[in-house]
Amino acid sequence: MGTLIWMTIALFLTLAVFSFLFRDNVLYKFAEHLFVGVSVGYTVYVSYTNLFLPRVWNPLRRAIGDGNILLALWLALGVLVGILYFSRFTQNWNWVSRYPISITVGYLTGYSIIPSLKARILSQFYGTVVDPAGDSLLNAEKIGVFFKEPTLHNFFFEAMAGPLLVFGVFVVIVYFFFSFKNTNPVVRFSRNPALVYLMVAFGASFGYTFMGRISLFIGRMNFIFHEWWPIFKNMISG
Amino acid sequence: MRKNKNAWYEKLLAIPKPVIYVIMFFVVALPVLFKMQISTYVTTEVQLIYDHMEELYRYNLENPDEKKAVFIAFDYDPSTMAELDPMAFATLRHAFLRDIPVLGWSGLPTGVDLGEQNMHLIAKEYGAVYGEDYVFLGYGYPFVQAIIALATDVKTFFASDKAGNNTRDLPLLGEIYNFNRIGLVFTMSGTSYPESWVTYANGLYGKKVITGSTAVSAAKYYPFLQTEQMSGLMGGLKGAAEYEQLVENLEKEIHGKDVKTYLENLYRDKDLSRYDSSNYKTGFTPDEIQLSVARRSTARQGMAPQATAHFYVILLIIIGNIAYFARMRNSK
Amino acid sequence: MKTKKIMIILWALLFCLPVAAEERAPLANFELKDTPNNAGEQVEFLFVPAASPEEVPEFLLHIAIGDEPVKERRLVNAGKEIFLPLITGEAGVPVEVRVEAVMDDGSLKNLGTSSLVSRGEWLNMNSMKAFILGLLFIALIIFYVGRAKKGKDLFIRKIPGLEAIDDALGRATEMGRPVFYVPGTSSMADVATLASLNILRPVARQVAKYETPFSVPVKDPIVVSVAQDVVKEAYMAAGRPDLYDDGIAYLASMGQFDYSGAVSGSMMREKPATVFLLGMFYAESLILAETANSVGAIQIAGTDASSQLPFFIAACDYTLIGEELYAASAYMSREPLLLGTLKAQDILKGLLLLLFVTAIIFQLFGIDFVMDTFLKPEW
Repeated sequence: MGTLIWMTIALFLTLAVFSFLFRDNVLYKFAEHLFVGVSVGYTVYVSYTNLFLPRVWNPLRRAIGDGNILLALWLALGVLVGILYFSRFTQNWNWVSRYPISITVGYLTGYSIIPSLKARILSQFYGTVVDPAGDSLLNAEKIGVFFKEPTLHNFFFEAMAGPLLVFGVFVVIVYFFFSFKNTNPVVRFSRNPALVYLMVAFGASFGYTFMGRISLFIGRMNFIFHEWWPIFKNMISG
Repeated sequence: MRKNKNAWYEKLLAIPKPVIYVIMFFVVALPVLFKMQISTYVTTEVQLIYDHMEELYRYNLENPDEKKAVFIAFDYDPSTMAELDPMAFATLRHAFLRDIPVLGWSGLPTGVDLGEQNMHLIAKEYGAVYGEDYVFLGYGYPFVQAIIALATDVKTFFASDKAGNNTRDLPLLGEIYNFNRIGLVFTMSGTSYPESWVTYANGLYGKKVITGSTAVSAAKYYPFLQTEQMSGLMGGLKGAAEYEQLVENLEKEIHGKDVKTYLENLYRDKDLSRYDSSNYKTGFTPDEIQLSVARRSTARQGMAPQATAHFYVILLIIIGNIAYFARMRNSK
Repeated sequence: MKTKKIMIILWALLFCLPVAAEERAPLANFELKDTPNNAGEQVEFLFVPAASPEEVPEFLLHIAIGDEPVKERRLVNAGKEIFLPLITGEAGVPVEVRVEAVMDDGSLKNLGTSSLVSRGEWLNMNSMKAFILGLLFIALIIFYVGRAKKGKDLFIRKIPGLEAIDDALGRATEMGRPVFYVPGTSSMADVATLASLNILRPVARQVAKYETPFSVPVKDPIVVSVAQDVVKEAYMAAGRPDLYDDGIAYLASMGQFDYSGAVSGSMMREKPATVFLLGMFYAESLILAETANSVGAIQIAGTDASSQLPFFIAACDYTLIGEELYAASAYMSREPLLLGTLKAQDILKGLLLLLFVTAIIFQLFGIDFVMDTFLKPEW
């Protein structure tokens, strides 16, 4: 019985949100407000039980229990710096909150610059020169293979994929140069191919997204027809 | 330009949205209701995931004293559950089937309970013991620091796990507590977290990162796949369906074709004192068995309505374009 | 006579050879090595079996790491070399590996030991390329920001979407309907949010001048306070502090979909004529753009979230793609920090592109030098 009540509430809220497809209405607003409230409340609860307790309170108590005063002080110092965030709520002292912000921003920026350059720039550029097997992306041999044995697969997927990738990277990077005038010949030449590349990428992404959105809907349908309905049917038939 | 409101193309271009939605509802609901199934093929990026897991299994067989674990980051919340749950289930199943230890956390506050529940749910189907075979650490926040903690000793970062156990008391974490003994990193997410996993876990520590992503963000991860910064990718429900299929074949190979009998007999000869009932109750009710069997094919069940919905939208696009061009021609 | 001597020597050699081989050639070669570029947490054991699998089917390793009890490990002789990472945990831990060959009759034969003390390095040379690139980038930024601060004119081309902003604001004024400005749904830590807030300033100034109703729903509490400051300043600069109200920029909600629900709800009610969606967006992008479209608003969107751009391009009237958002923000605000950064980025992009093209051309001729030296990532 308990399960059925919870599931029926979930069903009701799902339908209430779907009602927005027709027009904004009271049911939708109710579901929306309920969701806002619940998710904020839930985040507060998780922050307390999964951040404050295991990261601050329990280690602090354990450190004091073990007599490890240095560790306890270290933790307490962190908490004190963190509490400075709350100074944002005061008029005269809100500048104090810049200290914890500068500490976190400074630490994270320092830590992320090198790995980001490595993972997103160097690795990606390297991957545009050669494929993981070490062959050049502009491999002339593959084009040669196409002329010996011309099939669509040989041409497009084997021979042309690499050159198209290299050309695409080049024109799109030029598209995002802001130092040249709009009339610069390189900018003008690369603008249209770059837009084609961008739009193809966006199109692929868009198509994928449609699948994602439908998946969410299917998830709800599965819930209604395969989870809620059997339990409801069992309940009625006793 | 005068608009001819009664022309057929104007009518087609002005189909009210609610009508489109209602048809979409039936197009999706009917295949779900009648449990239509279509077969799917396996793409290379998903086959790679399976192969990496099997490689890890063989490594563990050769090195039984130094087993490596998989790490699963449940970086998602209920809003993307429909796509990512099947991926998490398949991954957990594969790991438990092959006796690979599993560590996990969630990088989102609203995903913490979800991740923990999923781990217990699947562990129960394979008799995995909490603390020995798998551990859920809790809320992996702040995200980057949490990844860095995995490079040294995750026990200093997580003094206690999600359930409140002291992490030093968990036998699994006594052995496996950092990247040295983690063979594969899985991240299931609809956010940009997979990119951070690539940047830090792969970029700094050379770990193999496998991404299960919502279809929305799947397209942007292909560049990482091309450079092998990601070792595998499941994109959306389709990716999940493929992996689910591969894992089910494996399960049938190991446990036989009859899942029901396997589940009924699972806890018969086991020492039940090893299981803590606060994680899950041993034994299955008929309802649970039915749900568990259904859960093995959630993603594949979704592929039939996917196909019908796609056909429907392609049809709408064609109709829209024909009507649009007809209007252009007539207005000239 | 000569040939006889040679024959004797040859015979002698022939007899000696197998003996010498038996005594000198080891059954396996092995070596413990310090792993370079780490903090000493790991050392490597390289093992190359020399004997055939029939002769020695297995090798037995006795591994002693620090004070831990000695571990035994069997290696099956497959004729291939084996690379074994040994985890020490920290620098200064003595490691010793003793190798025994398990002969085909089961007897053990000691092959000797190899030992070392794990060592940590001060610098991780694997990250050196990225480090130098990082330093170069920072130097370029400092240089160009300095130039911009001195008032030197740094040229940035006009982004096509920017002309649309004035028209869109004018339209809202004519229709007497409000303007909505959504500065993305991320925190201040996101550069896109900063860029968006920079565009908010001139937009708010214009709105104040036209006396158009203005609304800035925000998802992040810190962004709210900054947005309020920005809007207030802009209203003051436009000479209309009387029109300013703290409620213009407000916290709509902190969750992703509840935020989009709240914002699209208020769009449905207030029917804005112009909607700006600039900043970082996630899955809520299409919900916002679609709602704005359905109330008939002109939409100017921009984000660097590549997965959300398709929706904006499909549903909005003007879209700033990726970095165009930053360029627009620098162009409109003329802020030295942004101008300088953008310029430095352009230079870096140019350098990398040059490097990339050179690497590809050299690679075509079979020369890997440029690619390996400058681009190849290492672990």
